[in-house]
Formats: sequence, C-alpha cells, structure tokens
Amino acid sequence: MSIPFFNTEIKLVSDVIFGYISVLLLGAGALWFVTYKLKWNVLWEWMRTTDHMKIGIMYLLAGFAFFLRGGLDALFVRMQLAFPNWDFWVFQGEKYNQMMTTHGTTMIFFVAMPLLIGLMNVAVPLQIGARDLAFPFVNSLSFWLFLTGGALVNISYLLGGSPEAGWTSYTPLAVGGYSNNTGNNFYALGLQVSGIGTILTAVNFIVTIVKKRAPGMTYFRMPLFTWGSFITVILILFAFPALAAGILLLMFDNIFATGFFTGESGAPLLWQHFFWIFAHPEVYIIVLPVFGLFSDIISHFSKKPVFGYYSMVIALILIAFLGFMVWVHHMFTVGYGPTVNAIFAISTMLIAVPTGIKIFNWLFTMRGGRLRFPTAMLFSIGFIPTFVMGGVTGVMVAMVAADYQYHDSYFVVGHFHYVMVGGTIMGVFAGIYYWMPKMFGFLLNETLGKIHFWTFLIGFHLTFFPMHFMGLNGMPRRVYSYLPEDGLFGLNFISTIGAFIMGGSVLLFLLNLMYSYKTQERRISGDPWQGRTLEWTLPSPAPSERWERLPIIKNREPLWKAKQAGENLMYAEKEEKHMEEHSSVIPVLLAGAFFTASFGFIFEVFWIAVPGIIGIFALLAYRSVTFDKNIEWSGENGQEGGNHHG
Amino acid sequence: MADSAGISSINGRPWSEADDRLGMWLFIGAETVVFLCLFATYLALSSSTLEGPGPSEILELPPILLPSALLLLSSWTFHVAEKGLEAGQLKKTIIWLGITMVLGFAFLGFEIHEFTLYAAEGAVLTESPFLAGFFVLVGTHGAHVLFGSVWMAFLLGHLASKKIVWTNWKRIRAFGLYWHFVDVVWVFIFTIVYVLGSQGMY
Repeated sequence: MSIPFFNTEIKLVSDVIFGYISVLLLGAGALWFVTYKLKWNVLWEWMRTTDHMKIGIMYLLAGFAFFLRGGLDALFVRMQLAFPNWDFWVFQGEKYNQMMTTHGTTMIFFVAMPLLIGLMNVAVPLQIGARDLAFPFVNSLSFWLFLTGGALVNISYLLGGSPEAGWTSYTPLAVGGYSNNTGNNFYALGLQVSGIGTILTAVNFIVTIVKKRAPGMTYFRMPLFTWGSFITVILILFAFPALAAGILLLMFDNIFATGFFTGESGAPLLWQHFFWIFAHPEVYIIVLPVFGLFSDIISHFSKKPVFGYYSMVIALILIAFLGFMVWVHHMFTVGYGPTVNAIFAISTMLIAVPTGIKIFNWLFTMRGGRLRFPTAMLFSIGFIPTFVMGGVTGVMVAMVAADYQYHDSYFVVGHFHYVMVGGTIMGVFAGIYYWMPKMFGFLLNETLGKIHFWTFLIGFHLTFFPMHFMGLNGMPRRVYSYLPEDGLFGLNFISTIGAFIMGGSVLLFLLNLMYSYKTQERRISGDPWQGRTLEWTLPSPAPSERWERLPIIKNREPLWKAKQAGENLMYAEKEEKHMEEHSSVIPVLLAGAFFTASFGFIFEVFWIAVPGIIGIFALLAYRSVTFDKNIEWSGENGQEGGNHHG
Repeated sequence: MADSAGISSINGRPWSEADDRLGMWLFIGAETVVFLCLFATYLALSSSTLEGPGPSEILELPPILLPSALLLLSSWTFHVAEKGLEAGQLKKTIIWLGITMVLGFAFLGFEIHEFTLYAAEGAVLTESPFLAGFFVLVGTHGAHVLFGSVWMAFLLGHLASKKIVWTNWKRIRAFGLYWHFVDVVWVFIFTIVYVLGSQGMY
C-alpha cells in the first residue's frame, strides 16, 4: 500500500510501519513524561533558555538520542551482513543504502558534532571563567537549528525514503534521476540548516575565548580542552562554509534542474572537492576537542601537570593547519596523476608527526604520576592504543599505491571507525563521566562505569578489527551481501557479535545514568576528584549565577596551586559591568520557520517554502526591534573589573 | 579603544562594541569561503556553455559600470554616516545612511534589469552550467546586497526612534563590516566575471 505525499509517495511496508509505531509510542511517552514528571513550565523554560550549561545539556541529550538511532541503523546493517546471502527484514538494496547513509550522516553531523559542542558548552566557559558565551541568544539558535536539521534527516525515512547516496552524497549519484530525489533533498536541507547553526556556534566560541576570559587567564594558561575547542571552532568556521556552498549547488541541481554536478556537462568532481575540503577538516573538528579533553583528564588523574603543554598546543595548531591541505587523499583513485597524489600523500603523512607528539606527551604525562583509574581515566587510557591503531591504518591508506587496494574497501571502514569511535565517542563518554557533577551534581556509579568501559572496549575491537581483514580480503564498502565462497562469513559474524556487545554496553550506560540518578549522593562537593583547573572551584552542579566576581588567574592550574599554597583563589574586587540577555522563544520559532521552509523545498512545494522564508525574516526583524527590551545591565559601573583585556 | 571613547560620553555607559565587531569579522571569514567556492564553480564551469552563450558573448562591460560605481560609492557614503554617528550628529547619520540604502537598492534595480535582459535572450539558469554558475555567484552577491539594504532600513528605524544609544552604535559598526565586505566581493565579481569574461579571457 502506498499513500501519495506531495511529489513522492509513502510506501507502507513493515519497516516504515514499525517506524511510525515507534514515533507514536515515543511521542506519547514524551508527552506523558512532560505532563506528569517534568511539568510543561520546566520544558518551556528550557526551550527559551540562553544559559550555556542548559544548552550544553540539551546538546548532549539530543546527540545521545540521535546516537541511539544511528546505533540502531548500525545494528540493522550488521544483521544484514551477518551471514552470506542473507536477507534480514527489508534491508537489502535500496533500503540498505538508505540505512547506511542515515547511519553515517547521523553519526557525523548529529551525534559527534552535538556531543562535542555540548561538552564545549558545558565546560569551556567554566574553564576560562566566562559568565556565558559571547552571544547567548545565538547559542540557543545554534542548538535549535542543529535539532531541526537532525529532525529533518531522521524523519525522511517516514516521508518517502531516506537519502541513499552515502554520507558523502557523491554526485551524479545524489542528483535526481539516479537516486531518490526527496531523500537527497532531506540530506541537503537537513545539513544546510544544522550547518548554519554550527557556523554560528564557531563564531560564538571564538569570540568567547578571545574576549571573555577571566582576568589573568592568558592564552597559554587555558586548559587544553579549551585549546582543543578553540582550534576546532576555527576549523569549523572555515570548513563548514565549503559544505554550505556545495550543498547550495546540489540543491539547485535537484530542485531547480541546473547542471552543476551532472555527468554530461557539469563537473561531478567539483562536489567531491567541496565535500572533502569540508569533510577532511571535519575529521579533525570531531577529534581535537577530545584530544584536549584527554590531556586534561590524564593530567588530572596522574596528579601531574600535562607534559609538554606548549608542544600540545603547537601540535593542535599544526594538525589544524595541515588538515586543510590533505583533502585530495580521499580522491587518490580519481586519476589526478602521481604528482598531485604524491603532494597530498606527503601532507597527509606529515599529520602523523603532531599526532605522535600528542600521543607521547600523554604517555609522559602518566609517567611517574600518581595514577588513579576512575572510568573517565579508563576511557582516556583505552583511547591511546585504539587511536594509535587508527592512526597507523591512516598512514597505510595515505600511501597512494597501497590506497588503490584499500580504496572503498572495508579496510577504510575499519580505519575511520577506529579514529571516530575510538577517539570521539570514547572521548565523549570520558567527558560525561568527568563533568557529570558539574552538570547534575552527582557522580556516575563507578562499578557500572567500569563494566561499561570494558564491554565497550571489547565490543568495539571485536566489531571493527575484523573489518580491516574483510577489506584486505576484497570486501567493498556499501554492499549489502556477499557469497559463501568469498570467505568473509567468519569475520562478518564476529563483527556482528561485537556490534551487539557495543549496543549492550550503551544500554548499560543508560542504565548507569538512571541508577546513579536514583542512588548517588546529590550536591557533592565542587571538587570531587581533587581537580586542578578552574571549573572545579565552582560548586556541583554549577549554579546558574556562576561567578559573582570573576576569579583572578595567576597560573595554568589555579585550583591546584591554590590548594598547594593553602590559599583561596583570588577574586576581582567587584562585579564588573556586563550585559545579560533574558531568555527568548525566538530561537525555537526561527528553527520552526527553517523547518517549514526546508520542508517546502524538500517536496518542492513552494506555497510552504515561501511562508517559511518570510517567517525567518519576520522573526529576525522582530528580534531586531525587541533587542533593547531583552537586555539588562549587571554589576557595578566602572572600568576596573571589566577592562582586563585592554 | 579610541573610537568608543567619544560614544561612551554620549550614552554615559562604559561599553565596548568589540564583541560584535569580532563576531562579524569571523562571519565574514566564513562568507569568504562560500564566495571562494562559488567563484571556483563559476570558473570551472565557464566553458560548459552547451547550446547557450559563452562569457564573451553575453557579458558586456559598459552597462555594468554605473551600478558598480554606485555600489562602490555606497561604501564611502556609509563611512560618512558612521563618522556622523561617532560625532553624535544624528541627522547627518540618518541622511547618509539613507543615501547608502538608496544606492544599495539602485544597484539591485540594475541587477534585476540585467538578469531580465538575459532571460529575454533565453539565457536562464538551466540553459548551461556556465549560466548556472554565473547566476548563482552574482545572485548570491545580489542577495547579500538585498539583505544589507533591508538591514539598513531597520537601522534607520532604530536611529530615528531611539536617537543614539549604544545598541545602535554597535549595530552600525557591525553592519559597516558587512557592507564593506559585500562591496569587496563585488570588486572581484566585476574584475573576474565582467572585465575578464567580456574580454574572453577564459
């Protein structure tokens, strides 16, 4: 049975019906939860908030919800590949392509990015002694735009089919006529809307870190997580616009029938350039914050300052710098010839140098330290060998001649899961265990945490290690089946088992959240782990009025040095004059207008798109005329407190 | 911050507009990448003309000189408006900002006229990748001019209704960066698309 829906149709087959039922059940559950447990006014307050901590928590919650969806997709993929010549449910052919595309797109844009931006929102202002981000309203808008983009990509399955051209959306495959048009439009509009939010986040964080540091917090006194985040947002600022431009052109091809990327007269390779000029820096965007985070955690639980602080910062900058000049290594097999390939192979291998510096610095930070092993530290230590393996396979695929063998094989799938899951996801788990008290005022249960870590680590290696050998044995990416005589059954089956162990491990983490919420001591001390950096001087959870008077920073580890000297941290003499902005519902409404406009463009229904666009500009205008009413001045008049940046 | 010293005496509050200025500088950095990509697309596809006209057949230099001059002039008139605000001369600011806005809309009028002429000749977006690249590049710039001109209308409203307050000062300082940037992009479009294109240099 199929229902016509604008220019497409919704085929009601078992998986789509399952999707609708789960949406209805989850929606009803959310409604019940909000009405009976949370109260609508709490939700209303969170929807309008411009507070960086609340927005950070919302990023983490939304990112985690998308993580479950992307994980479910991964399990479907692994089920389909568990046996040779196997038909699992409906996930063959087109449905398999949709599932694997949604998995990749979701995991990169709506899991890795928001989880990291969430941690940045939670921790960066606390680490540098800022009252909030520089533009709190824009921060809220960024969050709602990300959520809108994520929602668009995720509902595509129920409204006529998901994008199916892979997360790279290569043209001409992604241009109408070669694959499902509305699906590709969902990809384009969803990424465009969330991308606008991400660019705004980058602007916001750069201005915050440059302008809003506490007195005495010089650049080289910032904790390394803040450094990693700083470099990341700079990368976002220059990488995401390339994707925005590429998607704009893709949209024109799909909606207005231009010929930018079509095969006959356009330039399909142009898309690959735009995509990878964005997507290679993206790889560093999602790993540099966790590099910084691991530095902080390892130093913290080794009871030592981080080894080679300056070289850590320089390595971050070098990785970011080199990250922009390696994009063609994704296109070695395109045929640009040995000179181009050699240049990009060398620049790629150069990245191993700063990364190696970081690895050795982490090891030397631990050397001779007084080590403790809470879950956050376990994830950090588990990350080091995992990431080294991902790095080694990275150098392997950087060698052009060898890459002709690896290209588009499961070897590459194994490689990037080692760096992304082993780097980003383990980093995010470490960050959540580490900063849980700052967010909610309680620690997560350590026993469950340790089980979570070990099951995750074992499941992870079981899933992704065999993929290297599948690739070497000739299994290509993005195929939904293989033959018994291919000799790939054993490896695939082990990988599927590993995927289920990882799935169970993530459920265990959910259980830990609920269990700890019920049993752990609330409002524990501000410094439960004998910390070193500024965020641990605040109570747990961090109060909404974080700094009455700003702290005065005299060294890189203000809390640790103060504790050693037996003194209290020094604070400014009075509250400096600063502007505060009230909460606002405009970001949510703007996101709604973006959703409406995107919906119209996706189905090429312009009587929906045009009101959406009018709504966007009307809300911007409304924001402009009401801005003065929505701000308030706090603190004492005078230059002494607030003039420290000169 | 020498430039804010005069203003802080107007509204009697110590403040700095530097956050907004830096934010706008960064936003311009992102916009620069977008325009670089669109320039690259235009140049890469400039020979894919199919049945449609090529650059030297359709692009002409003389008709574009006047709108170019108007847009460049608008950067100067805006500068005068900004100086007026700095000196606390509200009337001067409103007049010169108004002139800037009129110049922006005049430029848009010329651009719409140019596009309709091309369309009448059958040179539309879907005709060839070259024309698509041309319309998307020049059109994106035009959209920026439109956005900026409407933005100026709002700035004029703010100035007229609230006299000089610090929010208006920081609004205009941030807008100034945007407007000059849009102008600079036009300099590149003028040179690369119109001058080189009409001479058949690619």
